[in-house]
Amino acid sequence: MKEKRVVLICAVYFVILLLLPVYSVFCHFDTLRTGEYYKIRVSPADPYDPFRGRYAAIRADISLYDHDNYYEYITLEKDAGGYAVNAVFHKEPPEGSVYAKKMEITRYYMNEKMAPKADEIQRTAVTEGDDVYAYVAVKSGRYVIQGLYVNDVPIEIILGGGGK
Amino acid sequence: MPHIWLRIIEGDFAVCKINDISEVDFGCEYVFLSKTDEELSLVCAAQSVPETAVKVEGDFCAFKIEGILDFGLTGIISGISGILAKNGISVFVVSTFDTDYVLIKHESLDNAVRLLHAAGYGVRGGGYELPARETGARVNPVFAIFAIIGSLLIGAGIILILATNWWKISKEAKTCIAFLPLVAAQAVVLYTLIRKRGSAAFSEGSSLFLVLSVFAVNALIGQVFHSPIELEPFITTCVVLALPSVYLMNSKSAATVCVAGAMWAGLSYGQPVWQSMLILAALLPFFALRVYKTKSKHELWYVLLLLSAVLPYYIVKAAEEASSVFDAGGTEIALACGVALIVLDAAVWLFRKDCFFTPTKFAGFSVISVTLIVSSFPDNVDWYDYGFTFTVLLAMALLYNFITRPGKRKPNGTDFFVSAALLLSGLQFHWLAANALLAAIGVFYIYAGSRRYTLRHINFGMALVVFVIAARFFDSGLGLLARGVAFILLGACFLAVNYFIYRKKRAAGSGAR
Repeated sequence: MKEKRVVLICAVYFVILLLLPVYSVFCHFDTLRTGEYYKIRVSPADPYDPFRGRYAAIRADISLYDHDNYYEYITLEKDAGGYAVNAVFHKEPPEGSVYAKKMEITRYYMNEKMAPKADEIQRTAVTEGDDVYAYVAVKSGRYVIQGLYVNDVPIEIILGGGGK
Repeated sequence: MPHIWLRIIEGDFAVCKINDISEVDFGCEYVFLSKTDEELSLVCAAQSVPETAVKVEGDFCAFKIEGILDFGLTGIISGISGILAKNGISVFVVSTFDTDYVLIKHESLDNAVRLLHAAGYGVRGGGYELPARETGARVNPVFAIFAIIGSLLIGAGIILILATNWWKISKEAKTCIAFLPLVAAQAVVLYTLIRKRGSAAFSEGSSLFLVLSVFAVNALIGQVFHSPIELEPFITTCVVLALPSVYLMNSKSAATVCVAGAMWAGLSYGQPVWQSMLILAALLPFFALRVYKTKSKHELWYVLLLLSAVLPYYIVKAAEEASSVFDAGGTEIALACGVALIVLDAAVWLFRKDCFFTPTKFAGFSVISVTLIVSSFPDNVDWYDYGFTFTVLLAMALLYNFITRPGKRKPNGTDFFVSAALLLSGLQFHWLAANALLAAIGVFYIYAGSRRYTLRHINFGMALVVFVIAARFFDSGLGLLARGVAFILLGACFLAVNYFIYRKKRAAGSGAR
């Protein structure tokens, strides 16, 4: 009887363990599919995380931080081309507009061999005045980076790779 | 070994030499009489010893091995007497047609019960009711700790290789792959619960797999969606998610990973300490219950070993904060604390030479090891005035040598540690010196352990060498693929060496210590 109870509790625990990342994945995909997209111009850098791999560290050209940590929510204003041109901070979730909670556009994970090349491409593109931007989907407080683009071409395509 | 129960027979027993058999009181419940061509021996209740007995040795208590022992059975008595003999408890054994009786002195009873129960025997009677256990269910703590390190290293290697080299796969496919470790781990745990209940190897292995898979799935999903979450909150989240598995699977391995994770996440720079304290508090009942239920010195030893691993973090962290108060380097203060703990241990040894473990010494080793590792990074060099620290360390080293009287024994590993602390201080905490000292101590312990087949020494040495190599991974330009392969190889080495020595020791009949 006790053993059955342990198996049952374990099963419930396992469902919770599975549901949490499943929910997170669902939210990410939902944001990517139905969220509102913004192009956020970024500048490159090239560090790496010792455990999760190399990533292109990117910094949004517009300020996405409230340095006093006073405002938690952010809405973006975009121009006709879809580029985010201004960030507005709010204390409460703004009603009727698309907002994100504490937006950080800092990491774009890449293959370790490709990250330095991506960095080089971005630097060249920036110095030559090309458009380098992160394509970001925003919905109900969440946001997901869909891809990193140089002149509307995914960085992976430029580097000769496939999916994102 | 099958479940064996020992029953303590109420009352005092005596062993005596008699001349006349007619004086034996056969009305007593227990009378064991032996006659040879030279003597007549009698074992009976103390109050029934014949008045004319030639010699009497009293104050015995008796264990009866319960059940009927077949004549074909081997190793029953040698198993019990071996455990007691190893711990300096002498025995007197009497056999009957059905079973055996083991007599020991009353003064050794508590210790004998503890030792026998720790070895898996059930003990009842005389106020005890300790259940028998499969001895296979007891995992050697040192083996468990280093199997965990091995698994972690292997896991980290696989993630490093997988997560950074799958960029051509679509997000959907990557997400599905990310869930595979968790689903597989859950299947293994369920199989263990239903089919392999009671198997410590399955229980520990599957729960460790589950905990690591929680880390893996969250790391991989975070990477697929370019999540900006920092390392410490990530580890804290995973530890909290993994925590229930500790209690559900009664797993020491899972608990150890949770302790390590909590320490790392909670004590990193700028992280709130209360988080790690809360997680440790949640794990405390688990360890306390294990020690209470088993009354095993192995369990207690394991907890103390864990504490000695946890303590250095707090000491180093406290030393960092104290450094601003005392105007000295954090590494210096931590190093001094490490040597102080070893000196304290030596002082305790002066009065209690029968101590079977020395947690303060472990803590001292750990503090010095962590300080050496911190100092081994080129950027972490403290450029302070070393005069005071050097003097303090020198004084403590002299005190240590005075206590342990070096003239009457060979130098041992502890001397190496105290010397390393002194040398590092004398060399002004140079990072090259720290690397060299760590590697030298590591090699010394591997050499010493392999000569004596002692796992704890080999593992400790390997851990130090691995720390040197792993620390260099962080400040070298080594590729992630190479880093992953190196992690896997190191982990495999750990597991292989542990398994090899463990088997060898088991074959020799002593069990890995």
